[in-house]
Amino acid sequence: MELVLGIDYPTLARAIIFSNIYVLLGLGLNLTYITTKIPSFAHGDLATVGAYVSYLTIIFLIQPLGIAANVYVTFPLVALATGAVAVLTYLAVFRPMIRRGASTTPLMIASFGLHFVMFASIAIIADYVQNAYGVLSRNVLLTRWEYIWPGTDFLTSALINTTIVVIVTTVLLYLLLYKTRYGIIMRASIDNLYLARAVGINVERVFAIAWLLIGAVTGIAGVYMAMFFPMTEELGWLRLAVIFVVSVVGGLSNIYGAVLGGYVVGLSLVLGAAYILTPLGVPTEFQLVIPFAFVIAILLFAPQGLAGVISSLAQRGRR
Amino acid sequence: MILQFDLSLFIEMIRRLLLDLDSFILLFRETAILFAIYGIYVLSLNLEAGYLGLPQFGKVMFLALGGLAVGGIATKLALWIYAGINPLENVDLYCSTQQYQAVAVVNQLFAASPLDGLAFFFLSLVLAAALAGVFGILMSGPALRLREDYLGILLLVSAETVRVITTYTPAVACGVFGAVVPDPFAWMGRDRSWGYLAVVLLFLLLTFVAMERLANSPFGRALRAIRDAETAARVFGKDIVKFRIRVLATASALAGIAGALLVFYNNYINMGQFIPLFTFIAWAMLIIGGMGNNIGALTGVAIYYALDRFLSMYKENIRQVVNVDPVFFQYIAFGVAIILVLMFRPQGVFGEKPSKTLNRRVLKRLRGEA
Repeated sequence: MELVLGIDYPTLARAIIFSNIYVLLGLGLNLTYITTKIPSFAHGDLATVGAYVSYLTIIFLIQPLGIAANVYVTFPLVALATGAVAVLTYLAVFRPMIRRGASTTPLMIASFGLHFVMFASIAIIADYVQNAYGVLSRNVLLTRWEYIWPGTDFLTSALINTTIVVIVTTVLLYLLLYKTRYGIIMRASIDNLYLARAVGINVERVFAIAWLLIGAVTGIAGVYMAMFFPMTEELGWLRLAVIFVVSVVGGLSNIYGAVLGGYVVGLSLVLGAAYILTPLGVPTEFQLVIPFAFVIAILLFAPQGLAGVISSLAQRGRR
Repeated sequence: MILQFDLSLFIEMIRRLLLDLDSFILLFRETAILFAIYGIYVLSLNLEAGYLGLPQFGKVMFLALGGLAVGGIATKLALWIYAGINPLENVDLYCSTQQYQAVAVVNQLFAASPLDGLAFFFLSLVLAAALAGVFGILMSGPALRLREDYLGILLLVSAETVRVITTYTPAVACGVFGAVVPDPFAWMGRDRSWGYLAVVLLFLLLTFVAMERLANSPFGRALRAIRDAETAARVFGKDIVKFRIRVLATASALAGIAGALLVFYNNYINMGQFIPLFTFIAWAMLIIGGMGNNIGALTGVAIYYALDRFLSMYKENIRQVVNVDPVFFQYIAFGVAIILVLMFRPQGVFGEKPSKTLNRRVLKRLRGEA
């Protein structure tokens, strides 16, 4: 199917699917940044946790029951389990360190230690499952458990489903943050920590719940990642640099910057590889350089990110 | 009869013990070489991160650039000078088939002439230090402008960019094949490994002495002042820009030398090996040992390798208890160690010491004279 600009449908579909996945991952990272003031190196591992929870739930809980399995049945459990892991990391590592007055660099290093622990724990579980139950636990794709809409193929269904998930997540997040009392409390804590504390808000509890959201969103993103990249303990870690790029391009301290960043990075990554690198005879492995070049340019010229640039332009326009 | 039996058992025991000792010495030698190379690498990180407080999350980039200078530039020069081969004429053919023979020709020459070997070695190190140092200066541009977290991300992403570009450009160091590097110590023959150990230990000693001198000099004190109170340091007339550029250049050049030494240890380089993990292993060593303390930095490296070798010796025993790859327990141990140290002993095993100034008696005499 040829569309305008000579972009063929499968490439465009993949570009949008990847963008959707990166939006979800970036949303989680931006929330992390807002609550702890650091971009966490363990963020990719939360996605890996989500992918493995989904896979193991299908294998051990759903298939023995004889129900036709798909990943959406596992979503509540994925969200809960990954959310629980995320809250645990916040309570066990970040909160005590922030209380002790740790600055940015030690916190980032601690998040790296956390990556070691999570990455290796997942690997140990994967090894154990493989050896004890004979279940293949590495290089699996979750593709065959995606819900396929009648009359479509996997790619179209994934396109529809990831788009729905992104829309639902952003709308829910918007409703939560702007239409509920809890959202007001959360935004108050984010905007001015000390003032929020002064009026009696338990900021740490608010942030713990924010971490539940971080885990849930990231875990679900991980399930989709495992449909396109073979599932290993390195699933999320290997793409961490790209997630950082998404967040920085959009703007780390703006929740919805991730939406912008996700589409900019996802589209430029896939479309750039197909329509700029390949015709030039550059190997597609270089596609990672496109977003990296982006982020280096953004950091050097507009460190507040695209969302920051747009909002400051809008403010100037209003005046 | 009984005596004879006992004797043969005894001889067998001695033989085994000697074999064990042999393999132990071998293990010790290889570990010591790696310790020395990583020692230089972590000492250079300590200068940036410990003394200046820079979030250097792109450290592996400079290790990679040092390696690149050896495997990508110096090797081509050596081939061109000593063997009359230009690998760039047909990169694919050279990388897939010719490089082993071509390097063997150069190695034969180095085996006969130590002087040529040493010339190649020092040329490589100078190139490595220069290339990494220049990149360090380039990175000081953003380092002056960006906030800590953004700078960390920028350095991390830059390191990944360097890795991706160099890995997938075959002309640099044979891309995914990896490049074979001539052995400048081929003339040492069978003692090569021991000789190389001496060389890297010498470099470690030089680096350590230089870093200690630097840290206890007015320059080192100024760095700590900038780290702890930038505005105050500026008020006292310290040119912060100049200090940062110098530190980044020095530390990067040192890391480049460590990268070159690492390549000469294996006599092989694959640019794909320089993943961010090596940045963070260096950070882990530094954090555990103690930031802002050169002895602490080396202690961290020693602790890492001690734990690493200890676990690998008992690998099979662990496997019998739980059937999983023991390397993952090592990762967990290190992750937990990093977090616990940061939480309960942020200064590491050896905390930062006040910098050494003149001896009290000397000071008194000077004051008396003044």
